[in-house]
This record gives sequence, structure tokens and C-alpha cells, in this order.
Amino acid sequence: MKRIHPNRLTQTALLAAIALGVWYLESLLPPFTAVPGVKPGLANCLTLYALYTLGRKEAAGVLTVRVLLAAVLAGGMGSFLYSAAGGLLCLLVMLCVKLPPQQMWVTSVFGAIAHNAGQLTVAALLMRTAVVFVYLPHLLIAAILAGTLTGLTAQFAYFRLHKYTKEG
Amino acid sequence: MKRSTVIYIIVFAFMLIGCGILVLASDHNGSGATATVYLDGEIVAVVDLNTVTETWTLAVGGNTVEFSPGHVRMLDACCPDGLCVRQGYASVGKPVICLPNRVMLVISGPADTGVDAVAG
Amino acid sequence: MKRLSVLFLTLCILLTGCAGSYCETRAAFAMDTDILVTAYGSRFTVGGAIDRALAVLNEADTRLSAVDTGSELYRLNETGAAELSDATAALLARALTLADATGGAFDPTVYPCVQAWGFTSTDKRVPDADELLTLRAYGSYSDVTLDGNTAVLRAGMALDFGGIAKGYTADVMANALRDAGVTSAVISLGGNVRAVGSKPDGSPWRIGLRNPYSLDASFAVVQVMDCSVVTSGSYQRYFERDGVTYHHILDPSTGAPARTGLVSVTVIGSDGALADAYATALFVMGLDDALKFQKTQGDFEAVFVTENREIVATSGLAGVLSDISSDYTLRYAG
Repeated sequence: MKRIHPNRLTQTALLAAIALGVWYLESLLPPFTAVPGVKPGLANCLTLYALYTLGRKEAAGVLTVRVLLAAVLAGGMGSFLYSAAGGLLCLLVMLCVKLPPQQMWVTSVFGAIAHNAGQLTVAALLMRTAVVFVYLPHLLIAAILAGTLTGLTAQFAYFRLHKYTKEG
Repeated sequence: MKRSTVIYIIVFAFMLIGCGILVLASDHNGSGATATVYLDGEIVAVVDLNTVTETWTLAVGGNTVEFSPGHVRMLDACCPDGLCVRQGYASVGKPVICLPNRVMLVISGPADTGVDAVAG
Repeated sequence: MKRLSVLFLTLCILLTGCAGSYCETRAAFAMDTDILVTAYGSRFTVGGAIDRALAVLNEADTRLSAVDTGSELYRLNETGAAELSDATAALLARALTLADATGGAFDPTVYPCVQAWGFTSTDKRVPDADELLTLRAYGSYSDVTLDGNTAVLRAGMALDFGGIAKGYTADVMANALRDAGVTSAVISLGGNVRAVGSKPDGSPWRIGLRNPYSLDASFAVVQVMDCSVVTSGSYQRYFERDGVTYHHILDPSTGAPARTGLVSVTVIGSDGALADAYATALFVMGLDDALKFQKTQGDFEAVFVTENREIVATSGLAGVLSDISSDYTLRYAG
């Protein structure tokens, strides 16, 4: 078994912790659009950063830890399903379309769209009706805006901070 | 700026504007008279809002639905975000949905019950 | 990498396009019953289209009502003669033609009997056979004179469009929806169903046929495109007196409820007014005569439910009937 560099592990854990913190702060914010499934998904910013600085496995790790712990803290089978589905789809898409670091924000937008579309689909399946898709345009707007915001943040962090966290 | 970046910006801007127009286009006030309450895709209540003379509530899943003359909304929800409560009154084409508790308030509309209408 | 991002970009644009498609359902109350209109289309047209359809509905309701004192029909019944509007005159002509085609099994002049039974008010009563025959003797459909737009009735006669109005109005509403750009919709006027086009994905509409013995369920599902599905059933309106059940589908030859061993008749055809009128007529004719009639006419299909829990469907429906309830047996008539 390949040895995981302790530095990578520490960084993954750190990013996961920050992601959880961001998730918590986000949950305190008043909802900015009263539309189901619209979460700014600001914590995805950390998953994205992990993807570019550490790699696929670590990004998956950050995502998994955040989703699981959030479910433990906030409870509810429903919200766990939505976070899991959204997060998973987001990561898969970002892995597929991973663009060079200068266009990290674009990758983020694709991920956000996949995240929201995924949540809406899960909602439609759980409630066994397609009525929920009425909110598709609202979700797309939120995804593009949030994705750009988180993407630019991660991109900014990457170019400023990354040199300090590279392995020797 | 790379040319591909410009393309991405243009496409996303187009999507934003397009969706913005769509959101505005569907923002009309229809006078729907029937409210249907769903839990997990199953109908739990159908109320003709025109016959509601005083405000009353119904417990559905972990939520409380409030019916008032001509209106219906989610009064209370035990879900973590409480988004559904802040959605206010349901209107035609704009269902009030509580995703975590899978409760849905739809103004006038049978959803997928296997048939699109019943004759007779 | 480049190709995948182009793919995703395309997907995103398509998603925006999908977001433009829209479904809206609106409920209303008219013609003494619950109305439901579901229309699919673009966000820009659906709302306005439904507005148009409901406006048309209200206009027809006012014009064709037999109880509304401001309607043309009321005036005709009160005075025995009236000048009708083009649309109403055309509908009356249609009703008389259909009455003739069914040999009087459908007859709009049976209204005085409907009133005698109390179906138009809250006081139900059982008139005796002589009273009903007297009312019928005043005149039937062949005694209605329609010259251009002028209608004349004999003394004692009265008309109502009860057996044809909903089918006719559903057609007019469907036209209003189509004119406003909607090509996929389904309208229900208290169980009188009109399908416009097919579903947005091209598949047929699934219309349930109400189970007379279990009113919340269907005894079968029929898959249709662009046509009317109208049911006449004894379970729809009835009352009980001294242990006997009296329902609202009157036999014009006696003025009393038709006892033909049928519980429900559903007519499926592209003409709503015809489907509505024939649903009543076939119930009155009874199964055997109705099947013979359908064979000679050919422009509609029908489903019958007998008191023996038997479903009889005309052969043209083979392949489009499904989800048959296990409480019934199904057979197709030749």
C-alpha cells in the first residue's frame, strides 16, 4: 500500500475542518432565495481547493468528511441524501472537467450546476413528481453565482497560499 | 485573458440572463383554488381554498401547514433550514417545498398519480 | 479535457432551455362543477393560454345555463321563442342533429322531467308515470323549430344543454389553448375530460375511468391523444327514496331513469359535444342497441360497465385500455 504522506493527510483534515466550519457559518445566514435546494454551497470551495492542490483522493476525502459530519450535526435523512447526491455529482463533474488553475472558477461553476441539478433530481425522485423542476431556472442562477464566488475564492487562495503548502 | 475564458464568461452570462427572464416570465398571479398537500409523493390533503372561512392548521410529517381563506403556507417545520416557512404563500406554478421532510404544497394540480385525469 | 468542457458547456445551455419548459395547472368552479386545466408549454405562453381558456369557459357557462335568468336558454324556455346568438344556435342545431342520430335516446327536451324529479334543485321527489308522460307529450326534439337563429318551442316544452354543454365547452377551451400556442394539455370539466395533443414527450395521455363501485379509484386506464373522454354514470347524480335508487340519466321515452343494466358508459371521440351526447344516449339505449349503434356510426369508441361488473369495450380500443381493475371482467365487442 502506498504510504500517504503525513503532510497530505494533515492538509486534507485541515481543509475538511474548514469546510465544516464554512458549512456551519453558511447555515446561520438567512436564506437569500426562498427556493428549495438552493444552498450557496460555499463549502465546495474547499473541495475545489483540495482538488487542485492535493489531488482527487484528497478532494473526495474533504467532501466525504464534510457531508458525514454535517449529517451527524444537523441530522435528517433527507438533508443527508441531498448533500451526498449534490456533493458527489459536483465532485464527479469537477473531476471530469478539471481545467487549468487559471480557469478554476469555471470548473467550480460546472460543479455547482451539477450540484444543484442533482439536488433537484433527488427531490423529484423522493417526492415522486416532476413539479419541482419548475424551480430549475432559479437553481441555475444560484449555481452560476455561487460557483463563480467559490471558484474565484479557491482560485485566489491557490495562487496566494499554495506556495506555502507545497511539499518539499 | 484566454479566448476560452471569454467563451465561458459569455455562455454563463447568457444562462444567467436567460434564466432571469424565465423566472420573471413565470411570476404571474394565477388564482388557483385548490391546494394539495403531498408527503413523500402521496396526497395527504386536498383543500378547496375558496371554502376556507377561518384559518386552520394541519400537521404533516414534521411540518405544520396553515390554511387561510384563499391561501396556504408552511407555518412551521422541524427541518434544519426552515426555507419552506420563509417561502410564504404557495401560488400557482410555485409550489412550497420542504425538501428534508419531503412535504410539498401545490396549488391546484394532481401530480404523478399514474393517470393524468379521471373521466366520470 | 477540452472536449469534455465543451460537452458540459453544451449540456448547461440545454439545461437552460429545459428550464423554459413549464407546466401549470389551474382549478376553477363553473357549470356547477370542479374544473381543472393542465397545460404544458413555455413559461411565456402557458399562463396566458389558461387565462383565455377559463374566460371562454365562463362565457359559455353564462350563455348556456338553463338556470341563470340572464341566459339565452332561460329566455327561450320562459317565452317559448327566442333569437339566439350564432354560437348558441349552432349548438342547438348540433344537439338536434345528435338527438335525431340517436333516435331520441339523447333528447335536450327532456328538461321538464329533469325538473320534475328535482335534479335541478335540492328537493328531490318521485313523480308518477302519468305526470312524466304528460310532460313528454308536450314535445320532443323533433318539435323544436330552428330557423336561422330563431328557436321556437311548443307550449310546455323546455330545453337544457346539460347532456352536451360540457363536451362542447371543453372543445372550445381546447381551441382557445391551441390558439394561444399550447399543444399539450388536458382539461377536466367535472370528469368530462378533453385531451389536447399528446404529452410533451409525445406519449399519449393516460385517462383513468372512474370506478362506479369505488369512486376514488379507476376501473381502467385509456391512452388517448387529442380527443374527449366523457362518461355518463348512474353513480354521478342520484337519490334514494323508500329503498329505491333514482339516477339522473332519464329515458326520454318515459321520463324516468333509464334501467338498462348499465352503470357507466364512456365515449371516446374527437368531437366533445358528440361524445357528451352519445354517452347519455348509449346509456339509455342499453348495451346491445348501443353496440349496434356504435358499429353503424364508427366515429367514436365506447366502454360500458354493467351491473354484473362486466366491462365491455368496442374493438377499436384494443391496445389502448390498460390497468383493468381485478374486480371486473373485460371483453371486447366485435
